[in-house]
Amino acid sequence: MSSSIPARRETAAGRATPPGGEPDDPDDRANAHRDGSASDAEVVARSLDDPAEFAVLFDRHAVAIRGYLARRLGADLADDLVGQTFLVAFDGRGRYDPARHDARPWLYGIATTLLRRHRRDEVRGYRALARAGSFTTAHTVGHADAVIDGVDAGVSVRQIADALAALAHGERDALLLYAWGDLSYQEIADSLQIAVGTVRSRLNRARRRLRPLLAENPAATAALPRIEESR
Amino acid sequence: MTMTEKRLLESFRADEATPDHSALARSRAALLEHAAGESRVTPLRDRSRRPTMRVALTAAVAAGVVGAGLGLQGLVVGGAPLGASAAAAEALDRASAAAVAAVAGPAPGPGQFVYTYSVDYSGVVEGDSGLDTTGCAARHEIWQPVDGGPVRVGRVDGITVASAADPAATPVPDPACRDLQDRWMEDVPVENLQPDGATWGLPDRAFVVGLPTQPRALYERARADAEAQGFDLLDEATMTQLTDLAMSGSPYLTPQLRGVIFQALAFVPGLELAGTGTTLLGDTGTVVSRVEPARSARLELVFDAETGSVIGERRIATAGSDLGLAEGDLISESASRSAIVDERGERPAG
Repeated sequence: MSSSIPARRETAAGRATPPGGEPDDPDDRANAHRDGSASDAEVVARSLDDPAEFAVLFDRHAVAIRGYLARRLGADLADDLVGQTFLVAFDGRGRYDPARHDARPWLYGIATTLLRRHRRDEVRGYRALARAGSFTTAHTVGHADAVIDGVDAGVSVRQIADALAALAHGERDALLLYAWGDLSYQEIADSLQIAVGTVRSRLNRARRRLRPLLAENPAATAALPRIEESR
Repeated sequence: MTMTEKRLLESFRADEATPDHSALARSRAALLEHAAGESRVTPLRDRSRRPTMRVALTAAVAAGVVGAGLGLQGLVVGGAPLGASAAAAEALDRASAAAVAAVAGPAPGPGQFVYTYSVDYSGVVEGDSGLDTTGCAARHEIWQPVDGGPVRVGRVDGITVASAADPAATPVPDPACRDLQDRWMEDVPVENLQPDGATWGLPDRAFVVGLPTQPRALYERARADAEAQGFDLLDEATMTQLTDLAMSGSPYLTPQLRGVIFQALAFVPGLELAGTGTTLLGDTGTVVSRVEPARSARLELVFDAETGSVIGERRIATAGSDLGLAEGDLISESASRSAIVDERGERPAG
C-alpha cells in the first residue's frame, strides 16, 4: 500500500483523533468538512481509491463504537467486535450513501448487527448483574451495588440491569443506541433500517420499563435536569 | 425519552466504556492490513457455513455473459465491476437456461414429496479444546411435501468417517461428533432463522413466494438477509444463501426461479470458472470457484449444467490458512441428490 496512513493523536480525554483533530460534538462531527477536514462521507469516498484512508474513520469513531459495545457485552467481546465492525464497514464501503455525511449511524448499525449474535450473552450478563450483582464470567462489570455516578439517589446498577434484561431486543437496540450511541431518532432509524415511527414506539415501550425505577427513586429524578428530549 | 432517563442509562456501566488502547491499536492495524489485502491477520472463522447445521437446524426448528443483461454495472466499488468472471457468468447462464428448460423433466405433483439425500462433511471442526481435524460428517434424508405440511428429516446423525472419499462409511453415531452438532445448533440464535422457521436451505412455500424473481433483486435479498443475520463475510454468506436455496430441493422452486438463482450467483464477486469436478456422492458437473481471502480458502460450487441443478460444494484451504492447514486440504464438503417420491419416508429406487 503506497498511500500514507494518517497518524493518530490522543487527546487528553484519551480519544483518538485524526490529524487536524475532530470535535466531539456530533453535529460538528457530522459537518466536519465545514472546518476544512473531510466529512465521513468524503473519507469513505476517498477510501475507494486509497483504502488506507479508511483508518480516518476508525480514528474518529472506534472509541465510541467500542464503548457502546463494551457496555452491552463487556470489554473482551467489545474489543473483538469493534475490529469486526470496521472490517465489515470497509468491505461494504462501496455501498455507502454519500449523502450521509456522518458515518456513525452506519457504523452503529453494523456493530448492532454483529452484536445480535451475542444477544444471549448480553441478556445473561444483565440478569446475572441484576441477580447477583456481579458477572461470574469474564465480563467483569465492577461493583454491583454501586450507586450510579452522578445520580447518587438509590437507583442501583442491578435495577437498571433488570430493566434492560426485560426489554425486547428491538427496544433495547433503540434505547441503547440513543443512550450510549448518542444517536437521534432518525439516526437510529437509519442504523436499524426501520421507520422513525418504529423507533419512537420502541423507545416509548422502553421508557415504560425505566419509569418505575425513577418513580421509586424521586431523589434521582430531582437530581437530574428535567429536559424533555424533542429530537 | 427525557434527558433524565438518558442520563440514568449514561451512568450505567460507564467503567466498561473506558477504551483499551492496545486492543484498539490491534484492531486498527488489522484494518490497515485488511485494506492492504493482507487478510491473514483477520482470522474470521467459517461462520457462514457450518456443514451439518444447514439441515439439522432447520429441521429442529420447523422441522453468454450475463453481466450486461443483468445490470452488473450497478455494482461497483472503486470503479471496478463486481461479480463473476465472464467465463463463470456464461457457465452460470447456461445452467440457468437448463434449469428453466428442465420444466420438461419430472415435476412433483399433488400429494408427492421431494426426497433429498445430502452429505455434509467437515474436515476441520472447532471444538472446545481447539481445532480437530478428525472429520465429522452427517447425512440427512429430507421429505418435503408438495402440498405443505411438516417436513420430515431422517438420520440427522453425526458420524465420523475416515475421509471425504468415504461417504458410505457405516453411520455409527459418535458422541463427540453428536455433541459438536448440538453445540452448533445451540450457537445459532433463534433470530437467525426466518420468522416462520423457513430458511434458504429449507424454504417453505411462503418463503419461496416472497423471493424476488429478478436475478439482481434476488442477489440483494440474499445479501440483505446475510447482513441482517450478522455474518461477518457478506460475499461468502450471500453465496451460501443462494447455494443453499439451489441445493434445497424445495418443491416450491419453479424452474424459472431455479434459473434466476444461477443468474443471481453471477453477481457474487470473484466467481471464476474452474472446469469440471466430482461431488462427494460421485456426481460430475461444472465447477465455479471463488477465493475467500478472509478464510484463506477457496469455495468450489459444482452444478449439473444439463439439468440446472447445484449438486455439491467444497471449501479447500489455500496458502496461509489460519486453521493450520496445508494448501489443498479439504475444509468442508457437501453434496446432495433429489428425487420425487409418493410417500413420506419412501426412498427412490437405486
